[in-house]
Amino acid sequence: MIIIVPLLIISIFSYLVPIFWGIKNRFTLLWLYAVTGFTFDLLVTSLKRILHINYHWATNLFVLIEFILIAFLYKDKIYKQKLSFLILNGSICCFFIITTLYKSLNELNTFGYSIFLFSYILYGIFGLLTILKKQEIVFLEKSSFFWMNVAFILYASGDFLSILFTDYAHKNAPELFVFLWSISFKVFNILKNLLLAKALSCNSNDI
Amino acid sequence: MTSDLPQLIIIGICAMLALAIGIIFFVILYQRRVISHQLELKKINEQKELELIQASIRSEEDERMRIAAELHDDVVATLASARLFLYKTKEALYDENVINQSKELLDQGIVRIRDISHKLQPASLQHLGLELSLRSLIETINKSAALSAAFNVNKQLPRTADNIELAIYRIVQELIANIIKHSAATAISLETDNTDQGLLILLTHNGQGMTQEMYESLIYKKGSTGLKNIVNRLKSINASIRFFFEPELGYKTELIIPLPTDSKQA
Repeated sequence: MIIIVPLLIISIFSYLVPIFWGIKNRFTLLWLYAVTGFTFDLLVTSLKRILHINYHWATNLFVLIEFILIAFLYKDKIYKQKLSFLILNGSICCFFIITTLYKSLNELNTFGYSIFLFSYILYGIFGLLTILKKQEIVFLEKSSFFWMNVAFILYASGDFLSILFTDYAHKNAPELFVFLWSISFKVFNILKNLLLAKALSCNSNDI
Repeated sequence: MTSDLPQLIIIGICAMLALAIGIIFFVILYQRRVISHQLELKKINEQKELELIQASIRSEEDERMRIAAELHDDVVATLASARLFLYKTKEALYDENVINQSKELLDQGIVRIRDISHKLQPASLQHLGLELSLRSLIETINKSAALSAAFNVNKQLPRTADNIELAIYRIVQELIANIIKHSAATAISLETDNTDQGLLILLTHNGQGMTQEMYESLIYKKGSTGLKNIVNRLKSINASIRFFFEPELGYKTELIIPLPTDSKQA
């Protein structure tokens, strides 16, 4: 499909939108998340398309770092106790590491990634509930935290089933695999990055 | 079933997205509703504040007019009469009768000025405290014979800040004035107590009184300056008021005034 390569390029470089648009909020965790995403996307694409060597270890590493960054983004917003934050997220990280090592470091841990995506959905929902509960934010469209929640909810909702069924689609439905991995996943990645750019450009930096 | 799975996955993705979008829209709409509700509340509060300020200004003007009228109609008239009598002494060099009448008129003038001064700031309040001032107020009502009044102190009232005592005195004064004016009561009873919550004042009468609902609706309406003054004074001392009816006992007004911790027992 002719759309796949341009979409891949747009998806990689879409990280630059939050990086440059959110330059005034540079070195915040959300901005570092965009930088990390861009770095790993470039690395994975280079390993896969230029060096033609196994790239799944890099994807697994990025997925883990992405989770840790997102968990820290929500740490002060939805966790009342530091201990519950450490136990819950530590357990999920341990689960991901164990299942990755058990499966193979050179294979994408789709189940572990799905667990991460599911937790992003929950984080996003809890984040929005916090906004409603605390009533500290008057204008949602001016809130970084609101746009960050929207970005993660849409990204994770769109990608959750794609990632969960990647292995199945790879073996049994190649067309579906191409659609899920090359189009759907990239579209949601671009959408997430645009929404993160909106979050980083907000004046009220409440993240 | 396996052949349907790709379609089911696509449908599942669409369903999850629809759910996510639904949640986001719910949050947006809910937040807007909350904001519009808050704005409405703010508007009502501003309106209420404005009403209270206007009532306060109106009451001050009414008080000035009343003092002016009393001075003009009573004191000035008395002093003018005294002046006329003294003028007569010019013609009759020493007329004891004229001098006595002049003296009497001047005494009347002094008493009236003292009365006005007393109404402006009850002297007893500062020197003798709230308890004795309230007792004096009840005695004054009893003397007027318009209705019988009783005063009962359950626990000695502590002396507190002048502004608090004055506010309490004025509130009670206004409440009694309202009872006399509107309720057609024949008996009134004022009871005070010093409780853990603060100072408790209970005013009971056997006339046609006011309920809490009536009070809350009246303070938002135009007019009712006296009630709005009560609200202002209550706010200034962080006190609360409750109007209720008890069968066989009559209408009651309960005031609870939290007292500062440094209030000394008299």
